[in-house]
This record gives sequence, structure tokens and C-alpha cells, in this order.
Amino acid sequence: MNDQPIIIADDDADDSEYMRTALISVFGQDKQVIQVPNGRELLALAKSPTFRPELIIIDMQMPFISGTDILCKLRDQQHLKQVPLVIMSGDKYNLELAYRAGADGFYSKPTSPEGYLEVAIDIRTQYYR
Amino acid sequence: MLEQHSIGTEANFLRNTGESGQLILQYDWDNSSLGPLSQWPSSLRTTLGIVLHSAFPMFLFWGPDNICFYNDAYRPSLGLPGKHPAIGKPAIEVWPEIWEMTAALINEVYLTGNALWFENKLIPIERNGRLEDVYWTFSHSPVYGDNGTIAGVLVTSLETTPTVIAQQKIKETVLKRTRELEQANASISQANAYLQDIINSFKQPLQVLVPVYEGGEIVDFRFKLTNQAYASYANTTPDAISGSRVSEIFPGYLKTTSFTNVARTFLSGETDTWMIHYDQDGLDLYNEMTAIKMGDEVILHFADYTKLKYLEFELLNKITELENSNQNLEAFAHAASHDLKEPVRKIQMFANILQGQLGDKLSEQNRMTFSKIISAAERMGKLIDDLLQYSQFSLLPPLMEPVDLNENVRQVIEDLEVRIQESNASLILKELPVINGYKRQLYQMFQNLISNSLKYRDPATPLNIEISAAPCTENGINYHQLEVRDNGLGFEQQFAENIFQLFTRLQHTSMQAGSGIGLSTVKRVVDNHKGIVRAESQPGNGALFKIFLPNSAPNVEVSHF
Repeated sequence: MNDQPIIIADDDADDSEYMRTALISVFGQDKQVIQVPNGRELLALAKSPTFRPELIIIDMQMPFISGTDILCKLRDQQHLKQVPLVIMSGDKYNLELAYRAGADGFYSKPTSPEGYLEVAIDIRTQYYR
Repeated sequence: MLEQHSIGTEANFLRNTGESGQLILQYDWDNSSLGPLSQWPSSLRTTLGIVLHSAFPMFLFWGPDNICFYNDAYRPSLGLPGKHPAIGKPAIEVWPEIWEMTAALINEVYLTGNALWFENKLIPIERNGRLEDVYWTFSHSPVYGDNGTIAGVLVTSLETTPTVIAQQKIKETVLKRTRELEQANASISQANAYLQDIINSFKQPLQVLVPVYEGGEIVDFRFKLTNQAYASYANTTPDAISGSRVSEIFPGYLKTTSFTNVARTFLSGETDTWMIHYDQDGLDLYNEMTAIKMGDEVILHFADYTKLKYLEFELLNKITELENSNQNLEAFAHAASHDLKEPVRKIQMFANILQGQLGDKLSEQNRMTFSKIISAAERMGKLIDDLLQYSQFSLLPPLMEPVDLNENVRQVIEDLEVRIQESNASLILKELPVINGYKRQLYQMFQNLISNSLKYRDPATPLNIEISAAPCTENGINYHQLEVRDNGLGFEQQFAENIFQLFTRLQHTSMQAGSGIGLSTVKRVVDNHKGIVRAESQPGNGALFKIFLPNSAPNVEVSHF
């Protein structure tokens, strides 16, 4: 485990914040979590070759560029090949679409803070062995 | 016979004049107006000499009394015995029945000096004891006496009664035959009109065609007979096109099967029926044509199903429109449910947070109210989830792949584990086939079927769900027949069709109703696999869902059974 940040791309500030809170409580106060409000900003960040996050959590429905389009664009970047890309969506039936677009994981958006905690715990279990 | 020796020189003109000559000799002329034979004027002798020696029938009226003379050739015209002998008698005594006309003719000759000429004139005369219709061709001409004035009238005449009667008979026969022919002709016309009326009554166009040859090849056909239904295509009548070449009326037909197939039938003698889209000569017709050879002609009739074809096109357009509109509706349903989903999730989210924040400050009643808000929001969330599942098929083009249904169902059971345990249900899973299908959709199909059983269980009986499969054939198509059977509440068989419709819920008083979408999703999955789904049930006897999925790869199935 290195000290690179986890990126959350979500236009919904509440969701983004609950996810960040859950990640902090699972990974510790020192964990760096960067929040971006849309795909454009995420792609701007990703252009930098020094941009090496541990994991990127992407909301499926965001303005300008959809989550699946972002996935494709990120997958094209050589330096991001090894970075797990996780999709979140309020529609649990987007699962197949997400995996087909090349997602490493898919989570249905929770309906309680405890739900976010479960997602954070699962992320740690799945990608931080 | 006239005796040579009894004739004096004054009677030389009577030599060899037969019966007529003898009658003249024997007649008592002394008591007549002409006086004794020896005192007759030379003009009378000369004229009589000519008359009596002629082989042509001749008659002479002489003198003011029109004393009658005639030769042997004339004799038959007087009948048997008839008016003979009439020699020496005044004409009025011989021809009283026609005297008026005879006298008129004689007088005219005396007056004018001109000859009169009549052909086949009917002059009925009394002979053989009756009045006969006798025809004559004759001439009346003047004979001049010794003093240079007209003294008699010579009649050369030929009775033409047999000729005239023969002519009349011929005329009558001709007339009769003509009438018969006219009648026959009329009958034929009538029969033709009758036939034309009958074939005109048919709404199916009909033609009888004869081939037109050029250089030994059939290059066209000619209309021998058509009906009005056919002629109407050219805005004309059967009469108007009779005898015309088909190409004069429909020039484009030579390029179509309505010429080539007809020529083929004429040459082969084989009856032919075929479909044609006639798009020549400004027409746009869809016909089923039949050509039958009959003697040296071809009968061609067709059923025009253009209207039906247009209706079919219209129907296909409507189906496409409907499909588009359905897809739009599904896309709309998906978009709408997606947008609804987020606020509902937020209600759940913040209700949960608020409840946590208030913690111990809440009374028991407050907590009840909170839990009602949260469970209502959850129900709404599930309802929207079901709609999202139902409508997602229109968004995602699925991939066909071999799907092991055993694995598929095991995954469903795993995911529904909590609910299965809560329901205290036991599942019996028989061997299922591997099929070519949409993995995710089949998962959702089983998920909805098992959820349905869980939802409508009988609280009084432990729930059993059995899932099994068997190969079967229906309408010549091989299917995998999958069965999901439970011992739950069941439903009235009359609702077996309805339950697959969107938002259909059957009344179960003791149970919480479902969204009414789950079984519609099952139907959509089965439809997407070109399969059939049926439900069988009786209230209290559980439900049986039969799903028939086409078995496109029998090898796979064999390896599994």
C-alpha cells in the first residue's frame, strides 16, 4: 500500500462527502482523498503523467461525460493501466454496462451512512490485499 | 291434219300450220265479221302466215271485233281443254275475266302505234276450270292493214309461270334461309352477350388470349375475350379492346411475367400460378395470376390483392411505428425511473441520518413514524428498481453466449439467500441445461420467478420451490422446457395471461403486493430469447411457470441430459 490518493468523481456533493467520510473512517485520518465534481476535471487531472492514484471511484451519471465514457478514456492512458476503476450508480442494473465498459468494480449507491461504510470496507478488501 | 288437196291457193299460207291452221280452215267464216277466208285482206294472210308458222307462241287480235287467232305454240297457254278452241271468236268472249285490261292494252297500241312490253306480268286467267295465276312475258305490237291503218294487234307471248314460280320459290328459300341465318346469328350474339354478362359479373379480371407470332416466336398476345373487371384497368370496355394486341393497351406488360409466364404456359401447356407486382404503365398492382392453356388460347385470370398489400405495408409501418414508440416509451420509462431513483434514495439516506442524529431524543411514536417514512421510501426504491430492470433491455444490446443455467440459478439463490431464509423456503434444483442466451437476462428471469414464489407464499405452509428442465418439441421446434413450481397461494387460471402484463397485481389480502413488474420482466426475457412462457395455477394449489426456450444447439443439450 502506498500513499497515493483515492479519487472520487461525483457531481452529487452529498454522495461524494459520505463516500469520503466512509473512506477516511476505513483508511484512517491521513488518507488522501481527492474529490472532483465531474468527468472533465477528472480527465484534466489524469492527463498529468505523475498522476498515480491508488483507485478511482466514478459516478455513472455525471454532467458532460458519462461514467462509462470516462472509463474508456482513462483506460487509454498508459500510466493508469494498473489503477482500479470502480463505478458507482444509483441504478443497480448498470452493473453489466459498467463491467462491459471495463470497470474493475461496481457498487450500487447506498441509502445510509452505514451503506457507505460497507462499500469502503469492501474496497479495502478487494483492492488492498 | 290439214289435207294438202283440200287447200286452195288462197289458203296456201295455212300449209303446215298444224291444228291451228286446220281450225281456221274448218271455221265457218261466212257468218263472221271477217267474211269468207278467200276475201281476207292480204295483210291478214301475211300476218297469219308468220304467226302460224312461228314456233314462238303468238296471238293475233284482228279487226274491230278483235277476232282471235293463235298458233300451236300458243295453244297450251289456253289450258286443257280450257279456252281452246278460241279461233274466230271475238276477244271479249274468250277473255271476259281480263277484258278490261286486255282492251286497254289493245286500245293503247291502236292509239299510239307503239309496241308494249311486259315481263313476267301476272295476268290471272280462267283455265282448266279455275282462275289461275299465270305469268307472262309479252309484247303487243301493231299490225297494219291493206289500207295502211292499224288493223290488228300481234301478241308474242311466253308464259313464264314455271320460271316465275321457280324464281319465287328460290326467293322464298333465300328469304327463309336468310331469316334462319339472322336468327342463328342473333342466337350467337345472344349467347355471346350472355357469356359476356356472366364473365362481367366476376370481380376477378379475366382474359382469353391468342398468341401473336413473328418469325416463329410469340411476340405478343391478342385479346379474344375479356371481362369488365379486366377492361376497367384500362378505363375501357371488353368490346373496345377485343382483337387488340395486349401491348397496345399495356405496353409495359411485355417486360413482366404477365407476358413471359403466359407465353411459357402456352408453349408448355402447363397451368401456372404466380405472384406479380405490376409496376408498369403507371400501375402499381399486386396480383396472383393464373394461366391455363385451352386449345389455341390461354385463359388468364388474376386476383388483385393490391389493397391487401397496401394494408400490409400500412400495418408494417404501424408495427415499426409502434416498436419505435415502445422503444421511446421504454427509454422514457428508464430515464424517468432513473431520475426518480436519486431523490428517493436521498429521502432514505437523510431519513436514516436524521433518525441517527436525533437518537435518544425520539419517542417510541417518533421512531414508528420514522420507520414508516423509511419503509415507504424503500418500497418506492424497489418499485423504481423493478422499472429500471424492465426497461434496461432497450438500452443495452445484449450478447448471446452459452449460459449454464445451473450456475445461473445458483447465483440467484445466493443473492436471494436472506429472503429465502426469512421465508423458510426450501429449494429443489434439478439438472438444468446449458443454453445459448443472454446471461444477465436469464439471471433476472430466475430472480423474478423465485422472488414471485417467495412473495406469494402461503403463510400456513412451508414453501417449496422446484426448478427443473426437460427437452420438448412443439410445432416442430425443439425447446428446453424449464419449470418453476411452488406450493404457494397460486391464482385463478383465468389470470394466467394477465399476470405477465406490466403493473398487473392479483389480489392477495394477507400479502403485501409486489410492483407488478417482475413477471413482465420474465416475459420480456423469454420474448428476447424467442421463447414462450405459460403459467398454470389454481388458488391454493401453488403456481407452475413453464418456460420454453428454443434449443438451437441440440449437442449442448445432449451432453447435459
